[in-house]
Amino acid sequence: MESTTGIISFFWIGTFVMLFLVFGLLFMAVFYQRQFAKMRQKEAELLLKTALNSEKLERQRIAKDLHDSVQGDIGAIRNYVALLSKKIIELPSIELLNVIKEALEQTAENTRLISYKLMPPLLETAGFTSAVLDHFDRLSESTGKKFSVQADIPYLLITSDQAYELFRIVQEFTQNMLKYGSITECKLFMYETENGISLELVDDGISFNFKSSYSESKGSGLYNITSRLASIHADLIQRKVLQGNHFLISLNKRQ
Amino acid sequence: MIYIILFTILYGLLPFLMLAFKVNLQNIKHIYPFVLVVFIASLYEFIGSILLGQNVELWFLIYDILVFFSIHYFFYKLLNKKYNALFFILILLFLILHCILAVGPWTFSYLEISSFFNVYQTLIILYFSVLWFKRIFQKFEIDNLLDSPHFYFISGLLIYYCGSVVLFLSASSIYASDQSKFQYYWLLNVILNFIIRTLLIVGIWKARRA
Repeated sequence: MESTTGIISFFWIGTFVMLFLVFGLLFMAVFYQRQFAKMRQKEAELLLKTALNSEKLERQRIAKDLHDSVQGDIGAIRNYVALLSKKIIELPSIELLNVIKEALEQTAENTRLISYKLMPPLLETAGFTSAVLDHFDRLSESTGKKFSVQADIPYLLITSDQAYELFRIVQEFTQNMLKYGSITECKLFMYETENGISLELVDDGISFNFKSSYSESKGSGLYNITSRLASIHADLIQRKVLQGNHFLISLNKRQ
Repeated sequence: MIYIILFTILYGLLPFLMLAFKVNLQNIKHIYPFVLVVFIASLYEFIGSILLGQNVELWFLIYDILVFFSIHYFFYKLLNKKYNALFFILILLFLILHCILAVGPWTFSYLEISSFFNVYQTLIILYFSVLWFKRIFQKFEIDNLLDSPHFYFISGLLIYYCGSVVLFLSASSIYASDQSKFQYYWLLNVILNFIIRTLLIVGIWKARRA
């Protein structure tokens, strides 16, 4: 009788201990794996932020160098050419100097444009809304398409990093519209929500699915958009429309 | 009681049927042999034991061998064919254990032989599972363990074998002391079988979704 009780006790205690150990092992594995995954995600976010920040600083540096150094040098050369043109009286040489002058003007304009694209000066001085308005005006002028902005609020209360990333996202979208979208019109709506701000980009060009294009794309455009959105914890939603594309970017300011 | 056993036996057919309807699940092909063994076992237990009322002791011994090799194959592939020597030694030890039990002068009952195999199998599963978890932590191969089909397969194997090892060790003694109540203790084996089969189904379902 005693041995029977002993066997039964051994069975219950042994089974309970073994099951307790197994569930403990499985629980610990899941728990620590999640902790590791969170750490890895934070590490990846930090790396992304560092990379984007380095890119921003490098753009600023190149834009400044182009503006201060290259454009200054072009101005000086232009002065020398002007001085030279006063001393030369032969017709073929004057014509040649005029060609050089025109080429210099074109180079100066190109340099200024590159400098602007690298880092729009308005973004730092006047904020996101002014920079986007200026960008859209320039696009309308240079492409003949209709780019317009409708903003409920004159100034968005966002950090300079958020403004910079949002501007680059809008720039990337507009670039894609012009390159692949065959658009005639693009509208940007900006408004405040309970949680933060929202931007809606609507165009009438060729429709595409952002998610599937992102997974299939070999270029860096859509990847840049996704990385920049992740770096400022913004969400992107593509709304279904009959024609064109409609994107909603939501930036939660509490995050 | 009989209905619970019947349900659990037939429940063992499901994992294989799920695989049969979606054959191209490359990421979990290592578990195919084990799922097949569970399917054959369920079929045999239902037809041989329930319908025809045959003695299934010999089948259970064959089943132990089939399970050993299918689980061995699963871990061998899962651990990327590493630890070749260890796998070879474990198979060799298993065969030696088999030979000793078969040709030795002792006369062990089916339950006793089953307990030897069960303890050996449990130790192997525990060791290889720990190796797999170690690799997961070292290589960061999986973002979320709960989304990994292999995690469910390994959990099922761990829960079944660790949960039943004490039952198998004490089964012959319990049977000898009180035959009438033995079936109630054996119910634990049925429940654990139900759990491992459920986890196999969940694992296959996760693989199909992926």
